[in-house]
Amino acid sequence: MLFLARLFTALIMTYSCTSFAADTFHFPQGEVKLISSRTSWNENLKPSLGIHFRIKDHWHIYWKNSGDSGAAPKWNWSLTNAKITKEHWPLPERIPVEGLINFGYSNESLFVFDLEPEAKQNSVQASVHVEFLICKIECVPYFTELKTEIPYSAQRGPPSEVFSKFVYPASAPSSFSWVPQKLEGSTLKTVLNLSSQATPKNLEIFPEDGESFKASAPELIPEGNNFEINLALQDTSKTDFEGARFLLVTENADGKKQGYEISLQKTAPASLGFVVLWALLGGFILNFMPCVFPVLSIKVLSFLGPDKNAQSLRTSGLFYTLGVMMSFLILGGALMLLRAGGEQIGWGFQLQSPVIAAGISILFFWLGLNFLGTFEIGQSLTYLGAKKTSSDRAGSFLTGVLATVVATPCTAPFMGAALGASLAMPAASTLLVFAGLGLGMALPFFILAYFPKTIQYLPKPGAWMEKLKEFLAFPLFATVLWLLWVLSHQVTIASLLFLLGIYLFIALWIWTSRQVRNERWKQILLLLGFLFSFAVLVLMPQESVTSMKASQDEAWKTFSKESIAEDIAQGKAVFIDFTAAWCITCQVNKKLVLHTSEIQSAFTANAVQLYKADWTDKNPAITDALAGYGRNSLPLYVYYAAGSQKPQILPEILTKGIILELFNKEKEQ
Amino acid sequence: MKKIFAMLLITCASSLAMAEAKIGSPAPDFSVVDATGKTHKLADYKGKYVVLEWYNKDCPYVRKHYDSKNMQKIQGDMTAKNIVWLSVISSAPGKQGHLAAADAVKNAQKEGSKASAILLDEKGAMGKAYGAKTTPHMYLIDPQGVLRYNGAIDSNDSADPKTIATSENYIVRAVASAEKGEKIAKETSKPYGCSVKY
Repeated sequence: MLFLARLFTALIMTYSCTSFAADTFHFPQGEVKLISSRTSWNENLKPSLGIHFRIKDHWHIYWKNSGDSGAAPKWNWSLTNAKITKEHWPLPERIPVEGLINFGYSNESLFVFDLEPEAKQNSVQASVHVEFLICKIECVPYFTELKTEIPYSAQRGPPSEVFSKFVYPASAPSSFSWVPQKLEGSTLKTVLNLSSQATPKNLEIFPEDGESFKASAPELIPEGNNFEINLALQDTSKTDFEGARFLLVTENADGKKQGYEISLQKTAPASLGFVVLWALLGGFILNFMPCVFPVLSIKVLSFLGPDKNAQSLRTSGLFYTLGVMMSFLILGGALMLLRAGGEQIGWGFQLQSPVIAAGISILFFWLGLNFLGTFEIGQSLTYLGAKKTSSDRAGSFLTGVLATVVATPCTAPFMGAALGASLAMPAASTLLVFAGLGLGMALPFFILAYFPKTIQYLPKPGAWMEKLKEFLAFPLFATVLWLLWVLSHQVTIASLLFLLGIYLFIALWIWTSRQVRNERWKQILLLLGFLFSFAVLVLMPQESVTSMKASQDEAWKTFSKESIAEDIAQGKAVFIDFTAAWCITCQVNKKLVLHTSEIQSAFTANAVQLYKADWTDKNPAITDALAGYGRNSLPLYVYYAAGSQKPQILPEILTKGIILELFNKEKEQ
Repeated sequence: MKKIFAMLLITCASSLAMAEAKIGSPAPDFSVVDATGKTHKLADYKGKYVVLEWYNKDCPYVRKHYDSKNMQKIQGDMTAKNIVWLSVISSAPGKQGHLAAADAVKNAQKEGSKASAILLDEKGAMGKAYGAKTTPHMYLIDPQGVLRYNGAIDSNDSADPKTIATSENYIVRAVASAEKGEKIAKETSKPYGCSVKY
């Protein structure tokens, strides 16, 4: 009772204290503080504001969906010289309270608000009216007004460490998909596919909409990278859940939590029946692929001997079918094993990985050249199948296996859709799709074996096959174009050019191998060269486009003589990068040294003002500046140590060591 | 010993499966004694609308609606129309908001409550049958005994009484729609407030 009385006194005090605004508000269960991500702001450093809670053990505050009881904190901002562009809620936890489930935070939490300041040179003033509910079992609401100011300063203020302490959700990658399957009573059955995440650890799901979904943890049934998720419904009258927003929380390999915002999608995936039918058709078409057709036709011709009776023909057809289907099922099983083991291999094309996308584009480019007839491969395998014309069971079975083996390179362009869809399904369905492919492929032969008369309707092998094969190169090249487009969103133009370089190398390799047709060791040498170039691609530092853009925007200022002079006069450290898109050395230095996160953070740590003098297009100011340093060519790197008026000219070929050395020297002095 | 007992209590509480009163289905029956010792059964009110309100005198969200006289006003409007209003206290003995019969009568007088009766659901049987989670948590049962509304009292889950004026009162809207024979626009909502102290 005394405790309650104390709570109430506190409550009343809060009400009466609201006119009193400071940056911190203390209450019996803890404190809340309004803080800025940096001590100052300028054009290059947009600040964020944070509402930082520190509360005593056993108490908690709430997430935007509070769960079974409670209420989310609320804020009402008034800002001078800035507006809020985005707010971020840290990852919540499920907090059980007396049989109820709440979503919220205990101990410490930080709600972040990104700012877009307006007038330069002016400070940003922020005041926020905060209402929050804090509960153990009993609850106490508080209302308070917090105030802070962020001054303008050209100098880079040190960042507030608290801001790096919490994890905030990112938007889910587009490869994640989450579709409702069916409504069963008060449960919505769904399938979540996290294609790019190898076996997510400790997956948790938080619904944002507490009116539609219950707060209790939903049932999760893992299936490789898929999860069947049964969501318990709060509102059983609702049937449409499209766009319902959720937060997924998983852990990465180091046990660090990661959050993704995702919504339920509209379209259910193609039904299993449709996908299997598609696979059946795809398998059927495979027979007419140049790689398979010879096996089939020669095999068929071998039947037509005088001593063949209907019975042995049928047996042969049956075993061929078995052979094909078995191979497809093994292929499917292997694919699923790899998938379960966390490998992102297979027809599911995990295009999230640029290396795999690049590898596939190379394969398709190479296959396309093959289809165009620039070189022959796989012929010997095909004829091996053809030679196995014995009609015994093992022979027929083996022919089926061989037909599958030679068919696999041709599979991708035709079966992509069916296989892609099947990989997002549970294991049993994936296998069913593979069985469909196998059956489709075996079907013509099976029919021929049972109805030998149909053989007269079979198109004769001939020139049309060659034409078809050549034509099929073009869909492959189109796929390559699409893959390059995908890659252009993932890697820098330099990596993309390197990939195109590999294409060039492949073409060269094909041309050379015709010259050295009979010199096996030369062929092997060429093949090794090709593998080596791909290995280089894989090992090249893969800096993603987005991170590069972000770091560029953030850190590098455009060259301005006046601004540099001013910085030097103020005693700041300055680094000038004279560069141009056409200067290969510059690009190499940029990629391997200047724009790496290591060097970037060294610059930040030492408060170096970074300037980029881009000489790609003619720019007399930059030409003058170069002349000022006694140069007329690129690259040129100039560094002014803090408080020094004397420029240091750095070598043309940079290393990380050279840059890091600059700061070491500075410290020794 | 005390600790073990407390732990046991917590375990029991969290393992109690919440039953769920379903919209469009007959509301769960109850048989609960009120503050004056009279037993109330849902069946007694056949032919009348019944509003259930979960109550805990110490919960700040209940205080929001009582200190501002909002709740008493709605109760008065409803009971004047011959609607039965039952305030239910499901707080267990020793927990926040629990009231013995005599205290409950006094408290109701002090509050100026216009409820038809204050039900004492000490064991939480009625609360659990309805799945009452918060105070306040509101339900509407129509004259046929069918549950028509389950959820919050209004659209703003702030603890600030100033927000009442600008909020949409769900229970008032539900009763109005039901009386006119219209479909209730919002049949369920997420109740807000303190947890019911079972």
